Amino acid sequence: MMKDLLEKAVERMRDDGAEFCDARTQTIDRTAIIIVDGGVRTLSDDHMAGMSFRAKVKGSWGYATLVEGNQQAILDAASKAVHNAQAGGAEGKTIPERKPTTGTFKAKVKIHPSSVPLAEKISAVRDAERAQRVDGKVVNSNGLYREEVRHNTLVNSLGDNLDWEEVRTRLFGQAVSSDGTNTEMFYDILDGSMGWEVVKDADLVSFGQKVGREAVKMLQAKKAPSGLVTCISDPYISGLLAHEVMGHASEADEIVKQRSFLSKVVGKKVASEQITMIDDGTVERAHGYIPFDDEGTPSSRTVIIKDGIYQGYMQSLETAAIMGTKPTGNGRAQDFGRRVWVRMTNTFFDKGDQKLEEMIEDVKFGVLTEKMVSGMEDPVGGGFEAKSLRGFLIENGKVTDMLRSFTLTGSALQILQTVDAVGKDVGLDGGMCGKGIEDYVPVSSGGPYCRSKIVLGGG
Amino acid sequence: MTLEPFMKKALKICLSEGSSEVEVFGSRSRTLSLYIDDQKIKNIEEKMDQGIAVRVIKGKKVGQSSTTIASIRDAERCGQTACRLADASAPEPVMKNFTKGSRGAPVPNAYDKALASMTQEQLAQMAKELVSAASGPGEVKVPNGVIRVAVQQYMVLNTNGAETDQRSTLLYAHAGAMTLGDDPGEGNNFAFTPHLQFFDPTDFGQVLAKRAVAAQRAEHFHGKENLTVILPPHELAELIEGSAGYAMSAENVNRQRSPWAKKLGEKVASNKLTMIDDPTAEKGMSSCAYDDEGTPTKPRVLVDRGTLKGFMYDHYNAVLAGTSSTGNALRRSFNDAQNTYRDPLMISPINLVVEPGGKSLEDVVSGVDRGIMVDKLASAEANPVTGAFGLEVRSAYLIEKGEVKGTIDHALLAGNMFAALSQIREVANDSTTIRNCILPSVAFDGLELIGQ
Repeated sequence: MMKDLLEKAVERMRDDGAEFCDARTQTIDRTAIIIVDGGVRTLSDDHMAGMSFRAKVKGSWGYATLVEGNQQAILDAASKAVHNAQAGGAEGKTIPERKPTTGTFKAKVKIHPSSVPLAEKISAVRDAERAQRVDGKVVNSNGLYREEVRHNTLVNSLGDNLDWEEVRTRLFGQAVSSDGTNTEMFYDILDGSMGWEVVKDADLVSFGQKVGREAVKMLQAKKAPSGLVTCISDPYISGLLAHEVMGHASEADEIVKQRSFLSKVVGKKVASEQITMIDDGTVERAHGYIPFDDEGTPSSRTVIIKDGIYQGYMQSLETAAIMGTKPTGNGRAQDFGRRVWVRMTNTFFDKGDQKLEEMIEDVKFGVLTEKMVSGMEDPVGGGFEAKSLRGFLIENGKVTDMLRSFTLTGSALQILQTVDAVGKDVGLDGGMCGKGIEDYVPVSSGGPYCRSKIVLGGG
Repeated sequence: MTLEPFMKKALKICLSEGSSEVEVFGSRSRTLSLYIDDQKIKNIEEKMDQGIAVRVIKGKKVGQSSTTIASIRDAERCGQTACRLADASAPEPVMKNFTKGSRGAPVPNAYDKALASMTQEQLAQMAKELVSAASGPGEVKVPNGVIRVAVQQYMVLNTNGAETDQRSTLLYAHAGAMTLGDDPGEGNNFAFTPHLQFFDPTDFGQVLAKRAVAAQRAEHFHGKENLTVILPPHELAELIEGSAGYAMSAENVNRQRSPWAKKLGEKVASNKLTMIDDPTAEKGMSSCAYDDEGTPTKPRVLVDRGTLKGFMYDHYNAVLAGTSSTGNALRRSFNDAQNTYRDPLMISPINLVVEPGGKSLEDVVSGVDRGIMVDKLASAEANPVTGAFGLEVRSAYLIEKGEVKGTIDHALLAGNMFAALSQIREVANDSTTIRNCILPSVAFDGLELIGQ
């Protein structure tokens, strides 16, 4: 029934003058459990459902979004999408025909969250929260659980006709410690494009104890050195460098308008030869896994840098048409109410061949990072800014003092040129990525331990 | 159709399922967004949205649910889900009821008819003026930008007598400009206003171009030194709200996460800092007579000449602390009207106003012996728990002996926001609305700047 309406909406948009158009419905169901200091602070269920109609006329797009409406309202919205595109008036390239994709795809999860009793979920979050209280100095303990199930339906003028499901599950533990003078925080996360197995397969007591114990240890942390130092970035911070600077600047919408410092570098050396960087939406179980992007293009593996040489960009339908290449499955939207544009999926530096211990042994004076707080993109300037939750001083080849939160900064290209050692294990860190300050999509970023020269400060 | 029948239906269902107390929040909105891409109009979008959020107390347990509303069945299902969650939850000793209803709170001027009736064509004209003003002199282009206007309605209905219905409008604009040619500089500009008359696309575009040109001329900063730093409203807002705002939230006070938890009545900042939460501000993005629990709002001094005067409470944290809610429970956002019903209730200032000082920004600059006036940071955030920050400076004016001597970049600004609030040198009088703050530029002494 709804599929028929979507097909009619596509037909209406074509009739009204759309060169390309799509019609989507989406439901998003979330359950959240937040346990704070032993009490259930939030137990919530959120359901969102709506429709989006998108039309392209030359180089402008029109959107119309609804959460309710009968057939007439839907067709009116479809016409409005075309009208909105016509009001834009920009020139553009035609999106080429392609072999249509059709079918229904369920999420590949071991235990679908909807099959697990709520009481079991609350009990698990409680275990992860309670275990954090290892010491009287833990003044605040938090367990946050969230599951999200998305059902997407898409019909477009290329003939794609798809239904697919995405499932993501996440458990976050955070403890705040205080000794009366200083206050610190530590966290850990279990997550992925998986079901309840994310939580069921974990040792939640160990998970919680670690969070509490490390928060207390951080009260003894010292201020990080400032200035240019040798830095071994952990998978979280390596991932921020891959995602925030090199990743955002490799999104082809930034390339076609020359708003990226990587606009003209294909085939050029941009990093140490130890660096290979990839965006891969097909990594099953990773937080940024998607079977299809929000334009119906199957996800794919895009090699962005290989052995230090820049290879190419992530593409949507439109940017691929403009650049005369194939879409890579990176046209994504936060939800049916937001625009589709080029976004990352799982973005990471590939593994090298060194053990962490070997990388530390060679450092006379430096810093080892641990976990991230935040990072920010800079596609125009190529500047790197990341905040590490904490770190460790390295002196004469040995890890010594713990360091409290600090910031890493510098030119991404300069940092990548100085990479002289890359670890042999890749870790991925799931999260939500905005472009500018909105449009959040699930992604992961990561990499191995990487040794380079970076400017540090703060704390 | 209005949201009222859906809200009443949800409330009725919850009572019939055994809930002792019920609260239903509803929001409806129409949003028009225009996106600029490489000087051109890329997207024009019209979004219609409506939904409700239900909270119930059932047998001393609390459950909550939210949904978009397409039919009465959605309202029923939402109420039933909230009740089901309450059944599964653990007893909650704090929440015994929801906000007690009241009437007569002063209604702020938060709705602009002209903004509410804007068309796609008017929005497109505005975007063209903005781009033309920025790129007219031929030094920059506008690669990206958004102008968004929205009209929104918020309603609260509960079993303790709350029944509120408020409308407001918002205009949010954000754009970037970059200089033409190699090694481009980038500038950004933001606009937040509930009234169309306060947004001038030509002025916005000119400021945008000026910032990009200044960034392009920047020289890398070298060395390490302590100096005076002037933070403009568009970078200071998030730093102030993320530190002082966090510290004054009763949720963080009750959970002992706030560094100001035991400092009520004590000095927490320089005498030059006074902060007021003003829900009546005409230029505020969140002005309202009632918060999103239905509690009346009123102007409150939070920090008076450096002394901490009060915390911000929602109903839950007020009960926990044995006091009354101050009307600071919000779901709404300052730049987006969509899906408000799905956003959780958070303690937030309605409009955090930093009282302006007596000097113009130029006079503040002229009093600085050596310092910088920041134009653009990579991201303006401090660690909310500790206040520590290390911020990448992407463009700043260098000040020497009271005069601007060019621009710098590639520097890291390090310090602690809670300490910096006690090191305020001067507060300027150039107040601007940024996010849910109305604040001027502030000069801080003794921050560390680290170059490459």
